[in-house]
Formats: sequence, structure tokens, C-alpha cells
Amino acid sequence: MNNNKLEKLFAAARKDNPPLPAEGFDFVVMQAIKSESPPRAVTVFDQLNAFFPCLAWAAVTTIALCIAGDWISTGVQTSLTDGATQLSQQWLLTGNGF
Amino acid sequence: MGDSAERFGHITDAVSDETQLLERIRNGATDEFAEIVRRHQTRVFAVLARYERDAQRLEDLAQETFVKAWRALEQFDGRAPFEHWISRIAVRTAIDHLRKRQRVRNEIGFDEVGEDALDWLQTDGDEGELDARAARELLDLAMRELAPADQLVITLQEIEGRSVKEIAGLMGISGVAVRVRALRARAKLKSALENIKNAKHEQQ
Repeated sequence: MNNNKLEKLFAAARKDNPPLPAEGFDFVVMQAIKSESPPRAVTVFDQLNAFFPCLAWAAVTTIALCIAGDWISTGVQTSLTDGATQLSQQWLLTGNGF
Repeated sequence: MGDSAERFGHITDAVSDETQLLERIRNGATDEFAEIVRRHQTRVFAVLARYERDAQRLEDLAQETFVKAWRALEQFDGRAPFEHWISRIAVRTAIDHLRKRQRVRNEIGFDEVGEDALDWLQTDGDEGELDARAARELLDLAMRELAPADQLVITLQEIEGRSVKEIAGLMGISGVAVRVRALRARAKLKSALENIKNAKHEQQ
């Protein structure tokens, strides 16, 4: 198969006239379109679903921050209590105590 | 000059008319989509007929194209003419169809090609005339040995006469990739035609 023969094949194929649409084709298409379910109105739940990944991450981040805050504050409080107890004991043992 | 201005004026009017029509459809005038179908059905059939010769399957593909266009109408931004946009949908529908067809048929079906086409293929050299229908049948048979993307690039470039830039846009690949694919596809097509020629020769 040489290039000239291939070009001749392409040239002949280009002359092939495409078939025309049948009468009433537009009606068939419109029937198909109308048989499709109409687009549903967007509800609050649809919007929540759409935002779900963002909302889930926000919730996880908030929970993590709360846990971290609680852990830190608990740790600080313990050391403060210890410190206060120690101070008060030292104060009572000295002559300056009440 | 006057003729050109008049023609340009008609084109502008037609575009503006179509823009208004599409706006009305988007605002709920569903029935007016029938006018869009009537305006573009010939073009859609012409595009799809390059990939499917069976009349019933061709009509199904054309219907699928318009339904897809209907569903995606909100995405049409009007930057390119509507005709180009719907042609792109038709080409994508065609490539999906080629992929499905690839899975179904793999054997050489001589019964689908007329004797004229096979006789022309058997002759040495490039003498002899081949009619359009026979050429399409032969090309369709040979193309089945090619991957869908190769079939697409051959059809767009050699049959529809589209530019590399247009093909790149339609296929979503670079111009260089189109050129490389077109060269390879052409070589594969030649080989497929040789296979048909040899298979027919062995059968005789």
C-alpha cells in the first residue's frame, strides 16, 4: 500500500455524503429530553452534602484543638496547684507564717 | 466590500439570535431546544457519520449527542460558536462509541465490504477509481484494527480535513502529540489494509 493509493482512498472517502436526519428527529430528541427526570430543587441537605468534606474537617480540627487545649490547661493547672501547695507549705514553716 | 459587510451582518444576527434562544432555554423554555436540534442536526449527523455507517446506530448517537448537550447547556459559555461546541460533544460521543465497538468486533468482516473495494485493494499501484461508498466501507473495515484514538486522528485529519490545532483541542493533547499519533496511525492503517489484502488473497 503506497502513499498515493492511501491518499486516493482518503479522497474517495471524503466524497461520501453523510446521511440526512430522518423527518421528526427533533421530536425524538425532545421526547428523550422530556423523559429525563427534571432537575430537583436544591435542598439544605444537598448543600450540607456538598460541603460535607469541609464541614467534617472543620469538626475534626475543632475537636482536636479542644482536646489539645484541655490537655495543656490540665497540665498547667496541675503544676500550678503543686507550686501553690509547695509555696504555702514553705510559708507556714517559716517565721513569717500566719 | 458591501457584500462582505452584509454577510457579516447576517452572521452576527444569527449568533445573537442563537444566544437569545439559548438564554430562553436556560430560563425554562425547554421546548425551544427543538429549534437548536433542527439547526444543528445536519452538522451532528455529518460528524458522526464518519464513525458509524449503520443508520439506526447513527441516529442513536446523534440523539445521545443532543441529550448530552442539553444536560451540559449551563456549561456553554458562548466564547466559541454553539456549532463548534456541539461538534466537540459529537466527536466525544463518537470516540466513546468507538471504544465500545472495539470491545465487540475484532474479526475481519469481508461481507461488510463490497467486491469493488476489495478488487481495488488487490490491484497493484494506485490506478483505478474507487467510489465514495466503497472507500468508506474499506476504510471502516481497516480502521477496526486501529485503537479508537488512532481512528479519531485519521478521521479528523484525513477525512474531515481539520487542522492539527483543532484536533489537539478536540482530543485534549498537544499539537506535537497529534502529529506523532497521526504518523503512527497512518502506518497502522497501511498495515491494516495490507492485512485485509492478504487475508482476501488467501481466501481466494
